[in-house]
Amino acid sequence: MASVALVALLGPFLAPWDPAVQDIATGLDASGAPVGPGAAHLLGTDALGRDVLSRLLVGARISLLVGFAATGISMGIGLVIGLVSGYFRGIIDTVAMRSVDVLMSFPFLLLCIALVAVREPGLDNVLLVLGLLGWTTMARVVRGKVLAEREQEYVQAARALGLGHGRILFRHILPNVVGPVMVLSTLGVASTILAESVLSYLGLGVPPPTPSWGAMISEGQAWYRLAPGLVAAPGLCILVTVLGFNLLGEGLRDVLDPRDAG
Amino acid sequence: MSPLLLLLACTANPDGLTPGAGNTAPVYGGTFVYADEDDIRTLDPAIGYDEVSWTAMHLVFDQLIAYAPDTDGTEVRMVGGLAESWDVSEDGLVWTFRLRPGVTFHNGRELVADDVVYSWTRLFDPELASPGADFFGGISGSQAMLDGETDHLAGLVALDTRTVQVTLDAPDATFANAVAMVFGSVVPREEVEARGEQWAFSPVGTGPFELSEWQLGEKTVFVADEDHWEPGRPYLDEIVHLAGYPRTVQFLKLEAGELSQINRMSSPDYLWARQDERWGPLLQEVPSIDTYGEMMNTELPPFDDLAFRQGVAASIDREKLKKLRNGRYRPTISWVPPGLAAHVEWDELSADEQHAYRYQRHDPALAKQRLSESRYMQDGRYVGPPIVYWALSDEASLTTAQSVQQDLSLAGVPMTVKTTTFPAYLAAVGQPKTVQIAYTAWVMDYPDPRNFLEVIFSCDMRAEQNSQNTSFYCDDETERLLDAAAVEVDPDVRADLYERAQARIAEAAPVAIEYHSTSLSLVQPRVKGFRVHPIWTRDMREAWLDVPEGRPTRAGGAR
Amino acid sequence: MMAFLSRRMAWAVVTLWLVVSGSFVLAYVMPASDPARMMAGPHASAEVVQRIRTELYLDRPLPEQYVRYVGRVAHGDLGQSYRNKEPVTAALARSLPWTALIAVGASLVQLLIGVPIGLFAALRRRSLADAAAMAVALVGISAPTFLTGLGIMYVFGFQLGWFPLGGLGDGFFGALRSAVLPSLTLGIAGAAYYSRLTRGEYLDVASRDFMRTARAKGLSERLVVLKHGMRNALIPVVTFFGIDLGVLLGGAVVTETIFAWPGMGKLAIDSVLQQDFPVMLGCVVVASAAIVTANLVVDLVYAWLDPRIRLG
Repeated sequence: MASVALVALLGPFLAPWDPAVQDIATGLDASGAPVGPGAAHLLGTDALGRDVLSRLLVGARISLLVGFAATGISMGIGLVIGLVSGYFRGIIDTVAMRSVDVLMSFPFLLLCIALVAVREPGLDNVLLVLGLLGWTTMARVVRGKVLAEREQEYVQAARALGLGHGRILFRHILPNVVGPVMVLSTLGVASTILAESVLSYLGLGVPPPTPSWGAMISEGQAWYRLAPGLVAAPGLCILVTVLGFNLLGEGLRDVLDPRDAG
Repeated sequence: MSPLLLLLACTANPDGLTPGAGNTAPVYGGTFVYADEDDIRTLDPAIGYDEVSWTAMHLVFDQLIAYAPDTDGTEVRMVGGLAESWDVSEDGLVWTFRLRPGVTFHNGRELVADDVVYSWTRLFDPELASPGADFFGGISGSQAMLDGETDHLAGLVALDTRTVQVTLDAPDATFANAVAMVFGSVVPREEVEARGEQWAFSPVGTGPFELSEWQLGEKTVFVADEDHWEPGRPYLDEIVHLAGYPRTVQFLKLEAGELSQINRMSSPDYLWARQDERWGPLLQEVPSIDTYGEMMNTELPPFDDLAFRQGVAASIDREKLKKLRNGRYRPTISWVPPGLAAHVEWDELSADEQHAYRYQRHDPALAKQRLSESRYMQDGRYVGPPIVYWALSDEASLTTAQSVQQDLSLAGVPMTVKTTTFPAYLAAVGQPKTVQIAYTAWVMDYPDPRNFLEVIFSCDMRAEQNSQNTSFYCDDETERLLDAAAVEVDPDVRADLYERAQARIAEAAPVAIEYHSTSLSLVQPRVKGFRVHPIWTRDMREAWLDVPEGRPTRAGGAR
Repeated sequence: MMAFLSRRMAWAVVTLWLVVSGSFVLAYVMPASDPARMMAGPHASAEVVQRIRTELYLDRPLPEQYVRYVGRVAHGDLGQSYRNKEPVTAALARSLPWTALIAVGASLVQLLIGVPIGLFAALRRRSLADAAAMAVALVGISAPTFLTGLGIMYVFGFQLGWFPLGGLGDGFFGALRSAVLPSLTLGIAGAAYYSRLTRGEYLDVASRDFMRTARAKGLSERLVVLKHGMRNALIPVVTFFGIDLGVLLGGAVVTETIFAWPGMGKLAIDSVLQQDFPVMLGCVVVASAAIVTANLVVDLVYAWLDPRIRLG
C-alpha cells in the first residue's frame, strides 16, 4: 500500500520518459506497432510509441486521485448519513433514505454515463459524478448495520445509563459498523478506479494524453493478441492496488472490531 | 456528406476485385453476412445520409445513373442505371433522361417517368428536411418548394411515361453525380403514402434485393427479388446485416466463419491479419477518396492569425501519423484526393506552384519561423488563449489528436485535447466562434473536387448552425474561383479553376492538410464477386458464394 | 404489514416521480443542444424547427414544459427517438426483455457461484482455500467488464467455439445459448463481490453472541451455520441483491456493447453517444422503475429476515 502511495507521489519524478512523448525512432517497430520491453523502454511502448513504464508511474497518481477522492467524497457522505439516519430514525431517516432510494433508483453507471455525456468528459467531471453518486450504498449498509446494532443489549444498556447520543453513536455503534465500512471503502476505491476505466472505454473518461490506468487498459485492449502487456501492465497495477486496499481493510477490521479477535 | 460518417473506399486492385477470385462460374444461393458497429439508420433514400444506410439502400433501390462496375480508384465512370440514356443541352441547362423499359418495383408495378418526378420532388418537402435537397438544389423552382410556396417543382417534368426532363438554373457538371446518389433513388408513390411513418422501415424499390425483416438494433435481412426485372435475380439468396458489433469482435467473427466480410479493423487486428498466413493474402487495402486534417477556426484566436495557422500546419509530422497508422495513411498536401481533377502532388508541382503548398508539409524550421512571426508567440513562448482541440473518441481520431498535440508541444504551442460524442462534435464545429481547432475528415458524397472545396471552404457554406464550413474561412478570390468552376462545363478549365482555388486555400491554411486514408477489406475465400465500392462501401449486388450453403459456416475451412 | 406495504408503495410512486423529474433536468435543462433542432435534423429549415418547438411546447417556460413532460410520461408516452423517429416505448419494449434475460442469468451466476464460495471461504477462514477463493474473487472484482467480456468471448466463443460470438441467436434455444456468455460476463464481477460480502458478513455474524449461544445449546454445527449464521449473514446480501439490479443494468451497458446484445444497455449507450435524449431518458426511467420495484421487494424480504426491524 505504502509503495503504491509512494509511487503515486513520486511517479512523475521516477518516470524515465515524459509520459506523453512519442518515441517514433525506437518506440515503434517498422510496421508502426509498439515495441516490447527493452533497454530504452523497460516495459515497452504503447500504440503511440510512448513509454509504458512512465505512463504507469504517472498514471498511478491519476487513478489513485480518482479512486481516493471520489471514494472519499462518497464514503464520507454515506457514513454520516447512514449513522445519523439509522440511529435517530424518524423524519431524518425518512428523508435520508428516500433520497437514497431516489438516487439508487437510477442505474448508477447509466447515470454516470449520461451525466458525463451531458456535461463534458474530463477529470473533474468524472471525479464529481463518481463521488456524488456513489454514497448511497454506504449509507444504506451503514444504516442497516446501525439499525441492527441499536437493538443490541449494549446499546440499550448505554441508553439506560443516560449516555448522550453522540457518545453512543460514535463510541459504541461506530466501532461496530467499521468492519463493513472498511470492506466497502476498499472495494469502493477499486470500483471507482474501474468505473473510471469503463467511462474511458466508452469514450467518456479522462481526456488524452492523461495516462489513467483505466484509460491505458481501454486503449490497450484491442492489442490483446499482439501486445498483451498493454492490458496486463495497467491491469496488474489495478489488481495490486485493489489487493492492497483489501488487505488494509481486512487488517483494520481485525484491529477495530472488538469482538472479532479470533 | 457529414464528415467522418463515411469511410468510402474504391478499389485499386486491378485484377479481380475479389481476393482469391477463382475461375469458378457464379452459382446461385447462399447468405452473405456482414456487420457494422452501428445499425442502419433508415431505409428512406431521401433521408439516409450515412455509410451503413447507403450500403443497405444500394441493395433495395436504383438510381437513373449508376457507377460503372469497373469503377476504380483513378476514374469513377458513370453509366445508365434506370435510365438507358440521357443527354444534356448545349447550354448545360436541360437534362433529358430516357427510362429503361420493363423495370418493375418489388410490388410488381412498372416504373414510369412520374415516379421519378415524385421521388425527386419529395426531396424538397420542407417537412421531410431531406439532406438530398442540397444536391438537387440546382433544379429550377426548388427553392420555392423548400420555402413552402408551392408543392410543384417547376424544373422537373415527365414528357411521357418514359422521359424525364430536368431544367437547371445554371449549368452544373456535377448534376449527374447527384442523380447517382442515393437521394436520386426512385420510389413508388403509392407505397410511400400507404406506409406513412413506417416507410423508412419497410421500403419498396427496384433493386435486386427486398427487405424481408428488420429487427431494429439487431439485424436486417434482405432477400433476393425472384422476379427482378433485369438481369434477373441476384446470385445470393439472402444478405444479412448485423448491428452493433465492435471491430475487434467483427474480426473474431470473420475468423470463426460467422461473417462473410469485414471492412473496419483496429490497428492491431490489421497487423495480426497481415502477418497471418491464412488472412494475410486475403487482405485488401484500397485507397479511400477522402482527406483528413485539422480545421482551424479563422474567426477565433489564435487561429485568426494567418502566420499562426501556417506555423501550426507546418508543425504537423505527417510521416509520423503514417507510421502510427501502420503505413495505411498517405500523407498529402492536396485537399482534393488522388483520382479527382485538381489533385496535386508536391513532386509534380513547379517551384512556383509549390510555394502555395509549403505550409502543408512537415517543416519544423519554417513552422518555427512563421510561429515566431505570429502575434501569439513572444520569445518562443505561446501567449495566446488556451487552445482546446476537439476530437472524437475513436482510434483514428485519438491517434491523430495526440500526435498533433505532441508536434505542437515541440513547436512550443501547448494544447489540450477534448474528446466528445459525434453529435456534440458536429453541433460544436458547425457553430461560429465555438471550436478553435478540430480533427476533421472529409469523405466525399460524390467524386468531384467541387464536393471537397466548395462545400467546405465557400463563404456561402458558413452558417449560424450546422455550418459546413467549419473553419469559417471566406476569401473573395477563392469564392470567385469556386463560383466560376461550379458553372464551368469544360473539364480542363474547370479543373484549373479548382486547382487555383485549392492553392489559395492551402496557403491561407484554414485547414492543416494531412493525409488520405486507406480502407481495408477482408473477405472469406469462398465469397466471389464482392466489390469494395467508392460510393456504396460494400457492393454485394453481384456477389456469390462458391459453395452454396445456408450461411457461411466455419467455412474458409482452414482453422 | 398491510400498512407497511401500502406506505412503501406510495413511496415507490413518489420515488418514481422524483426520478422522472431528475431525468427531465438531465435531458432538457442541462444539455446545450436544442431538442427541436435535434428532432428536425440538421437539414430542416428554421420554420420546421420552430413548428416542432411549438408542437412540443419547447418554447414555453421550463415549469410548464416540466408539467407537460410528467403528464406525458404518466400516460406512458416517452416521446420519439431523435435518431429515427421510432417511439421510445417501442424501442424499450423490444430491448427490455433481452436485458432481463441476461440480468436473470447474471443473478443466477452471482447467487449460485458467489454465495457458496463466500460461505465456503468463511467456514475455512485463514486456510489456503480461503486465501485462494478470495484471491480469485479479487481478480473477478478487479477486472473491468470489457476485459472479462472480451476474454470470455475469446475463450468460449472463439477458441472453444461453444457459443456464438455475440449477437442474439435465432429461436428460443438459440437465444438462450447466445445469452450464456453475456450472462457470465455480467455476473462474474457480482459473483466475486457476493463471495466477499457473504464471507465478511458470515464472519461478522459468526462471532456474535447468539451464535455462541446456539453452539452452547448444543445445536449441530450444520444447523448453526444454516439457520442462524446464514440467515443473519444474508441480510446485507439481500440488500445488495436489490441494489444490484442497478449495477446489473449499468454493467449491461458494457456487456451488451461487447456482445452486440440488443438490450437496453446497448440502447442506452447508443442513445447517449448519439445524444438521442428521449431514448436515453426512456432507458433511465424504465431502469429506475425496475429498481424501485426490486427495492420494494427487497424491503419486504428484509423485514421478513430480520423481524427485529420495526415495521411501524
